[in-house]
Amino acid sequence: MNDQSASISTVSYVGGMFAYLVRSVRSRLKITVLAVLVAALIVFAADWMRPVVYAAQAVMRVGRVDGADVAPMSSIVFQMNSVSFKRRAVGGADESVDSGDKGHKLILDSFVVRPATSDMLTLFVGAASEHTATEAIQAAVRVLNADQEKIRAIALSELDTQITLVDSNIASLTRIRESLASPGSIASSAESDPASLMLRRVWLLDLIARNEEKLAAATSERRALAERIGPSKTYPATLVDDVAIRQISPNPFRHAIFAAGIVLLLMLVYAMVRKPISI
Amino acid sequence: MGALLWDSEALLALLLNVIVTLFVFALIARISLSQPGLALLAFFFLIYFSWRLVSVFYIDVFGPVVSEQLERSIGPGLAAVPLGACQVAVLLMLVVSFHPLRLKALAVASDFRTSSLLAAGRLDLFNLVFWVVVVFEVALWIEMLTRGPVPLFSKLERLDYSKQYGGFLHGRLMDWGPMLAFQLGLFFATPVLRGMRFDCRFGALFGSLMVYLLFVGHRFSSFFLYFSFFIMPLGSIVLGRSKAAGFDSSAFFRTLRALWLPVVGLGVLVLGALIYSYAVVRGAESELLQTKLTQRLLVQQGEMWWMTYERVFLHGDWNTALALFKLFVDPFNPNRNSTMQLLMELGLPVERAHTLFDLGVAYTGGWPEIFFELGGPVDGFVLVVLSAVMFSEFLFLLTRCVVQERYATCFFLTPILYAVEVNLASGMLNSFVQLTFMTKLGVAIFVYVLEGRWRARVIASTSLQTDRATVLKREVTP
Repeated sequence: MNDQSASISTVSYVGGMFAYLVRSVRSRLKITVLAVLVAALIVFAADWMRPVVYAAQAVMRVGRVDGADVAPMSSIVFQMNSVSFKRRAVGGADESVDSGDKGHKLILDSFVVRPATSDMLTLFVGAASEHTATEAIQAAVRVLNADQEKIRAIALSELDTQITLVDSNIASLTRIRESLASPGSIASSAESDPASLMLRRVWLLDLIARNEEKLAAATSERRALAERIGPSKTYPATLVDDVAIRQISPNPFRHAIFAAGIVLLLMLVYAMVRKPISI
Repeated sequence: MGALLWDSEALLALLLNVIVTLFVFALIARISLSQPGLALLAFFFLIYFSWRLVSVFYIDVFGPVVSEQLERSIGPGLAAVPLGACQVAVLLMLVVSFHPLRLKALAVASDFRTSSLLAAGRLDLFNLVFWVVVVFEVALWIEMLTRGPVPLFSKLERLDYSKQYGGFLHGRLMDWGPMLAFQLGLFFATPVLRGMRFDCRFGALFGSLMVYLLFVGHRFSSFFLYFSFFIMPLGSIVLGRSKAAGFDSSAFFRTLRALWLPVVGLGVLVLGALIYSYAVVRGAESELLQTKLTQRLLVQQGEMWWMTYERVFLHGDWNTALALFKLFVDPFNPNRNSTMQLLMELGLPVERAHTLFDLGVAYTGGWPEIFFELGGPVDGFVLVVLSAVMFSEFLFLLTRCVVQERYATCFFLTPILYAVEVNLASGMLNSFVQLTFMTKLGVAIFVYVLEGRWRARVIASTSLQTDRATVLKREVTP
C-alpha cells in the first residue's frame, strides 16, 4: 500500500467519525438517554439524602515561649495529626456540643493539620454543623495549649525564678541606696577630722555610684526578663482569623452531572462496540 | 587476614557492579543495533537509564562521596545491582512487546491507513495543524518579547522567568510542551507511510520551539525531553513498518541521515545553552565548576536511589501504609509529584524537605525507588515488572495508532503517554488518581473505540466494493 495521496481531508476524517458515532448512537438512542437519566437521578437522590457536611479551615499561630517555638513545627504537626490528639480534641469539643458517633468519626477522619508558614499551621476539619466544626477547631487549639502547658510551665518557671532573684537583688540594692543616702551614713566621725570626712564622702559617693550602676543593670535585666515573658515573646497557640466554613456535602447537581457524564461515555462506547461492522 | 577479607569483599562488590552495569549497557547496545526503531521510541529512557546507572555505579565504587543536596556522604555499596535488574526488566519487556511476530502482525494490520481510506475532501489536516501551531508559536514569541526581559540576555533562570514574567501561552507550553513536540514529530514523520518525504514544515516548527526554549533560559533537560518526544513517532514508524513488504527501512534511514545538519544544529544549541548557563547565568567560578559538574552528572542522578537502597535493601526499612498515605492521601503538595516528596521527606530532615517543596525544588529520580518503598525488596520487583509491562504495552499501542495514522487517537493518547513516561522517569503515581487524568483516560478510550470501529467499518466497506468490482470484472470479462 504505497499510496501517494498527498492530503487527508479534515472534513472527511472528523466528519466520517462523527457520522459513524451518530449512526451508532441512533440505533440505541433510547437506552442511552434512559441510562444517563436514571444514573443522574439515582446519584442525585442518593447524594441529596446524604447528611450535611461542613468543611472548616482556620490558620493557627503556634505558641511561643521566650520568643522561641514551644516545640519544633514538624513535631506539632505530627502530634496534632495523631489519632490520640484528635480523640482528645473531639472529646473537648463534645463537652459543649452534643453529636453522635457519626459526627465523631467524621471529625476524626477529616481533621488534618498542615504547615502553612514558618510559624503558622492550617487546620482542616469536616463536621455535621458549622458550630461543631468551629468548636472542633477551637478545641484542637485548646488541647494543644494544654499539652504544651507542661513545656511552657517549665520554661516560665525558670524565667520566674530568674525574675524573683533579680527582684530580690533590686530590693536589696534599693535598701542599700536608701541607707547610703541617709544623713547618718557618715555622721559618726564627721566633726573630728575634715580630711577623713572628705575621704569618707568620696568613698560614699563611689559606693552610691557603684550601687546605682548595679541597680540600673538589675532594673534593665528585670525589664528584659519581663519582656521575655511578655505578650510579644510568650503567647499560647491562637487562631489567627475567624474559622472559614463552607458546605461541601451534599452536592447533588455536581455529582449527578459527573454520573451522567460517566454513564454517557460508557453507553456511547457500548453503542459503538455493539454496532456490527459489516454493512 | 581482615584486610584480605575486606579486599575480597570490595573486589566482589566491584565485580558485581561492573558486570551488572556492563550487562545493561550491552543490552541497550544490542537493542539499539537490532531494533533501531525501539531505540528511537525509547530514546529518553535509554539515555536516562544509562545516566542513572553510571551515577549509581560511581557512588557504589567511588563512595563514600559527598552529596550536596542530601548534605551527607553516600556509598559505597551494591546499589547498581537492583537498579540494573529493574532496568533490564523494562528493556526485556520492550523486547517482548515489540517481538518480530507482533510486529509482523502489526505490519499486516497497518496496511489500511487513514490516508488510504479517506476520500478526497476539503481542509487538509496537515495544513490545518501546521497553521494552528504557527499561530501558537508566533503568539508565543510575541508574548515573550513584549512581556519584559528575555532570560537569555537578562541572565534569568528558566524557573524564575516562568514565575515572574511567563505569560499565559508560556505557561501552557511549560505544561504541554513535550506533548506538542510529540504531535510535531507525528506530523513530521507520517508522510513517510505514504511513500512521501518527511514534512519538514513541522521540523521547522520544532526547531523554532527549541530556539524559543533557548531564549527563555532552558538548558539540557528540556531540549532532551522535547527531542525525545519528537523522535518517538519516527521510532514507531520504523517498528511498525519494519516487517511490511513494501517498506524500505534502509531508504528511511538514508532520509533520516540527510537530516544530520538540523540535528547537529540542535546539539550545538544545547551545548551552547549549557556553557552559557554555567559560565554566564550562574557565574560559576572555575574551581567550583568541577564540583558542580561532578554533583550534577555523577551524584544527583543516583543519590535518591542510593538512599532507597540503603533504607530498603540494607536496613530493611520500608512502610507500605505510610508510603501509600503520603502518595495518595496526604502528600505535602498534592498538585505535584508526591513520589519525590515522599522520598525527600524520608531522606532529608522533614523541615528542610518542606522548605525545598515550598521553593518548588524536586530532586532527580523516583523510579524504581517508589516501588521498593511500597513493596520492599522482593515485592518491589513485582511492582517494577508491572510498571514495565504497562509502559511497553502502551508504547506498542501508540505505535499501532501511529502506523495506522490514527491521528485523533494519537492526539488523545498523548497526555496518557506523558503520564506513563513521567511515571517511568520520576515514579509519579498520584497523577493516575486525579480527576483530570481520569477524564483524559475516559476521552482517550472513547476516541480509541470510535476511531477503531469507524476504521473497521470503512475497511469493510472498501473491501466489499473491491470484491464487487472484482466479481463484476470477472462477469464482464469474456
